[in-house]
Amino acid sequence: MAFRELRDFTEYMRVLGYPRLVSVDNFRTPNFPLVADILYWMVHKYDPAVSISDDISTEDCRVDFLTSIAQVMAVKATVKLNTKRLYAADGKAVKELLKVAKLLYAAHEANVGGHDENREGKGGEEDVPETGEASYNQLHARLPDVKATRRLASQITESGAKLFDLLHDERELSVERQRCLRFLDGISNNLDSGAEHKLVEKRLEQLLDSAKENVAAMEKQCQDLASDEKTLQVKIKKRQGELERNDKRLKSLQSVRPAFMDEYEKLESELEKMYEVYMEKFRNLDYLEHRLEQFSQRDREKVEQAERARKRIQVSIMEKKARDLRGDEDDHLYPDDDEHDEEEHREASGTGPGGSSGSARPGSRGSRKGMSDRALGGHAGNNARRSAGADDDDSEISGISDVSDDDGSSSSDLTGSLSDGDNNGDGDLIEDGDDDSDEDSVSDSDLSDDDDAGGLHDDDDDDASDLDDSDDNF
Amino acid sequence: MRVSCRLLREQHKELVTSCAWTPSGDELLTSADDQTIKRVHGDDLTTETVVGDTDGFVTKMSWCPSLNEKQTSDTLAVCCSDGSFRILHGSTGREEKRVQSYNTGAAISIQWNLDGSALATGGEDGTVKIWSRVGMLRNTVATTGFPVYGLCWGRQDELLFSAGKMLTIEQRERKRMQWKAHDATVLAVDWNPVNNLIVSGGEDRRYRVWDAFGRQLFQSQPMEHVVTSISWSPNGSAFAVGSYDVLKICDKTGWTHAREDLRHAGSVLSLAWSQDGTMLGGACASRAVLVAQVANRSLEWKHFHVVLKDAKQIEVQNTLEDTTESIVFRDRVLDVSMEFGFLVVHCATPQVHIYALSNLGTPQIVDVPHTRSALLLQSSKTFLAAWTVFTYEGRRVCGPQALNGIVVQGLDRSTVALNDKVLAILENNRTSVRLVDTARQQAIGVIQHKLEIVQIALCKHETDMLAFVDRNGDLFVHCNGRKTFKLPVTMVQSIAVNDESDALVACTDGGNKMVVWYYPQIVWIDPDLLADTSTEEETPVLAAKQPQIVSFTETLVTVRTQNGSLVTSSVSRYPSLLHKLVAEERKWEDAIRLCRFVNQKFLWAILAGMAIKMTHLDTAEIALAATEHVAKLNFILYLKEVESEKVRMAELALYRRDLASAEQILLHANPPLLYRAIKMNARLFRWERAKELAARDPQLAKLVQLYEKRWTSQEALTDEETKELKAIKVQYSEKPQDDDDDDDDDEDQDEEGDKEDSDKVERARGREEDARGSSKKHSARQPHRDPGEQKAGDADDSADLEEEADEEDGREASATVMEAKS
Repeated sequence: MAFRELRDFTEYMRVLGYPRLVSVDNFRTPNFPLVADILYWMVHKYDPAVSISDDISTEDCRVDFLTSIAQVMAVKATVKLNTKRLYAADGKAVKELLKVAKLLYAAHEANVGGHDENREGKGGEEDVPETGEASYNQLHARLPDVKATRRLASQITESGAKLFDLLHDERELSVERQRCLRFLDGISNNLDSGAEHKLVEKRLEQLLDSAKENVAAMEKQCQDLASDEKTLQVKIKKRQGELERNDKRLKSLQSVRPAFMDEYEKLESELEKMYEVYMEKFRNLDYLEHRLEQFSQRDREKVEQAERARKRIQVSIMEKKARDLRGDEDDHLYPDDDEHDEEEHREASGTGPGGSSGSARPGSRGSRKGMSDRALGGHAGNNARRSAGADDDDSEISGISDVSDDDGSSSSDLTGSLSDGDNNGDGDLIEDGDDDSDEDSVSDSDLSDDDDAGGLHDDDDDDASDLDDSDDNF
Repeated sequence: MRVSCRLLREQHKELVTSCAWTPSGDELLTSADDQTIKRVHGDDLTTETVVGDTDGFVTKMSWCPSLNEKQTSDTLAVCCSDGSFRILHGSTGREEKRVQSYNTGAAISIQWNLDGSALATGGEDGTVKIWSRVGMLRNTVATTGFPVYGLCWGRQDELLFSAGKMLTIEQRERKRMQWKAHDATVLAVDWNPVNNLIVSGGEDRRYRVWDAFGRQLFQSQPMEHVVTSISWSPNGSAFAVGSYDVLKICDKTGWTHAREDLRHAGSVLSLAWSQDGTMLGGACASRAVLVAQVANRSLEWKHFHVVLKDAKQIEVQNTLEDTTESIVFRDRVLDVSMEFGFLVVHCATPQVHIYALSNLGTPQIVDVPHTRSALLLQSSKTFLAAWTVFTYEGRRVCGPQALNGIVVQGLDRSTVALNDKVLAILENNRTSVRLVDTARQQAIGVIQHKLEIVQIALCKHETDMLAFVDRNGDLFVHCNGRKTFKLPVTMVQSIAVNDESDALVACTDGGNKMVVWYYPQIVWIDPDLLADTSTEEETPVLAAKQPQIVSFTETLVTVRTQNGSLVTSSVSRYPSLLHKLVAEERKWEDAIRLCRFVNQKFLWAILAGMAIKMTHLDTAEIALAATEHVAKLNFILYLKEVESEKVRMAELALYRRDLASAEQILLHANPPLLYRAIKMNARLFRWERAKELAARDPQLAKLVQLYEKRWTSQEALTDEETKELKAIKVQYSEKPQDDDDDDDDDEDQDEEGDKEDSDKVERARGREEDARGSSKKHSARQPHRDPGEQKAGDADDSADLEEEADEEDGREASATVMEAKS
């Protein structure tokens, strides 16, 4: 058991990557399983194809194992192992193991050394913490090697396969070869007799005949093929002529313009115009109907209002009469007014959009306008240039323009190609609308409750402003 | 900290077995299985063959350490696989002696002891032998039966060796110590003389750190392969661990500084640090020789950050202005230190470069003597380099001759301390500390201690005050000419002093607590206030992590724990402000204002201590009132009334428990206040001393006798005796030359009867007693007290209670007490 051997052996095993850690103390006492494991591992490292049983359960098995290992190593690596020492599995076994380990280590070193050659050529030293780049470069430099290796590998398999095929035929060929050999032997044995010569001549003649027949057949085949070629050529020419003709015809047809085309285009443009006119009219009609409805609504309301006023007057007259009858004069006048206010207010909030308290109270008009201004601000961007009086109408216009926009888009959907005219029509319509509304605003400016006919949100605004009014009042 | 490694692959043809640096520290010797010994120069890597054919396979080498600084030794010992060891001439390789030490098996380890007088070898057969310097067998230490892979010497010539899984320390005159260190064979072991720690590495793939008593301090995680070599850096701050293809640099507490992957190096079979600790050599199994340089060490001070880029380049980073400057030196940098606004760089030339951090362009360069162990220490005005003290202007203040008789190897930052005036250094017996006055270049004192001292620290202002920690983890403070005082903490891990004030911080209770004493010198002024001037903080993060305080700069305490992380904690800023106001500028009013502003008890206590120390009674009165120490306050008020300067001084000395100096003051007064001195001694029941003083005057002797009788004997004084006592008292108190009228006036008032007189004395004593924490005096006096006396004492106690109740105007209170008594 020598210190150096143990140290070297453990170091070799570490370098070779033996999966267990080998301690320097492992061989102080006989440890056959470890020796066996190391041997088995090393032999497989040396030649992975070796098949050795790793059964070491009985003495006989162990002996068998060691002898087979020793045999393998002696044959393959020409390393002589002392099986007796190995069997002892102590410090002296290390000496034997070291023989194999050294061999493997040398191979490993050569491998590593080959890789490091480039760098060692520079000065025999290297910076240990390798940068990634350096190793990358190294890999790069070795790339051609890889290609060459791969090519060689494929060549090897190819030739291997070929070899295999050839060897496959060997069995039949060997019979033939045997016959040949026998025949040749026969010739050489009795050169004098002509039997063999005759046989050869006969065979040669046979061969010549068959060759001639072959030639004749081939010639015939050639002739057939030549005639086939000719016929095919003729056919090809015919087809080409046909193709050219058809081409010409196609071109002439393409250049002609059909007679009904002009008429068709004219009609198309006419249809466009007609459709535009139709749309304009339809829109105007729709608008006018809408206006009519508004007017009638307003009339209805006026009637209702008048009715209410009348009732109020009636009530007041009745009350006056009653007062007169009671003989009170001025005392209840003011409370009465208050009652009125309350009642009105209740009406306004209770009856919703129908109730219009605005007309009854011109004093609160200003604030109310302000409210509607604000409400409409987001709705119609051009509010600023309009007079405050036209605010209410404005909402209507924007409503209409919304409608027209919708129509426009639908019309463009309908007649995709007529978009130009449509745009024009749109513009006209909006102008029309504007005109109308201007007139309206002029004529209806005295009608203070115009806005009631506005959109839904207008109503909301009114509510809000009514509430606002009431706040003001209180 | 990192190492930059280079592998020299072409030096040897076979596995490299061992390496050793020459004592001069720039050449690495390597031995290999190709039977050669070669030499590599550490800087330029030029190689040279020392021994062409060693006639045997060298297994280990050891270079004999130099006996002193002047001559470097040139003796190399190698052991071989044939069982012999040889002593070679290091530079020529000439074989001087060959000894066949083992007959069976190889000699596998060899090591000189620290002074180079003995050589130990370990054999494969498991015997450890010690040889004399010339190769004569001294004795066979042990026969273990396991190969001795590791062997090293301790500080006091203890021998540590590994055998199997065990580590053994063989000590002279003491029992052998043996413990199981690893789960598998121990392959490498090293013992550092500086920090007295042991590292070992074994086949269980771990490395462990032990203290000198075999207690495990650290255990690493298992590495991938067995640990094949281990080596301490000479200054003990780090150690290197070698394994298969891996080199690790670890801190002394075990955490890893750096891990270097060595490609195709194989196992690192041997590691050696150069003497200055900047280079590392290794022997690799794959025929390579490893030469590594330590790089990337870094320091911080306030907003400056210094990084040692490589062996010759330093980068100074100013984080406040975000500027970086690079300084390149011509020679290797051995050590760098940065404190107090100065950067000090020790180069191998040997020179010291001194940079002011405000101006890094123009260094002061000083030539220093060549030393083998570089240690840099700084104070605000001076620094220590190569065991010589310099000012920052480069003027030499104190040479190494002041350290005569101390072997400076084995000293590090924890065992040497420097302030502006004093250099403290641990002597080689490790139980005494020498204080050297740097300006006068001579020793001013030696502190003796019973146990080994592990860490010392010097205060910055109270220049001769030294704090030290002993092996038991007790913390003491010492001041020249005064009693050494043990601070009331246990298991102190590490201490540090502040760079601005005298504050002292300690990690105690094994790291569970961090205690800061803002004014530690108060132990010689009034130990009762010590608790008030300190703060205590629970530090669970540091518990059981061996915290080492790295620095205590301004208000920041930086602590490094066992796993290498830095923990920072801050302390109050006010004590250092107060210190500045009082100690440097004497602005008492400002100091009081500061204390009022902060209004914390510890600050008041510090101020009280300072005021009493400097005899500034007004401030002391205010401060003591604020700390609610009524008895002390009373005493101060009494002192203010004392008119005689000498008596006041004596009383203050008494207050500080300094009997000797109190007596000195009284006796050295002109004329001597003999009567007072005697009375003081009588008051303190120091009868022997009182008799001694009174020996010349029969009347005084009689007085002492009477006092003794009155206070110690069971029977009361007879009437004549009482009269006599009174007469003597009157005589002395009325003597014009006695000149302490103030007190005599008092006594005259008390002359109505001895009852009153005894009361008076009792009162003074009680007062003093209270001021003194009383325990010791009580124990000394208790057995002699007669019952009447006891009663008087009780009366005093009750009076004290009254005083406490009415502390606001203590003077009036004491007056009423007096009235009540009379």
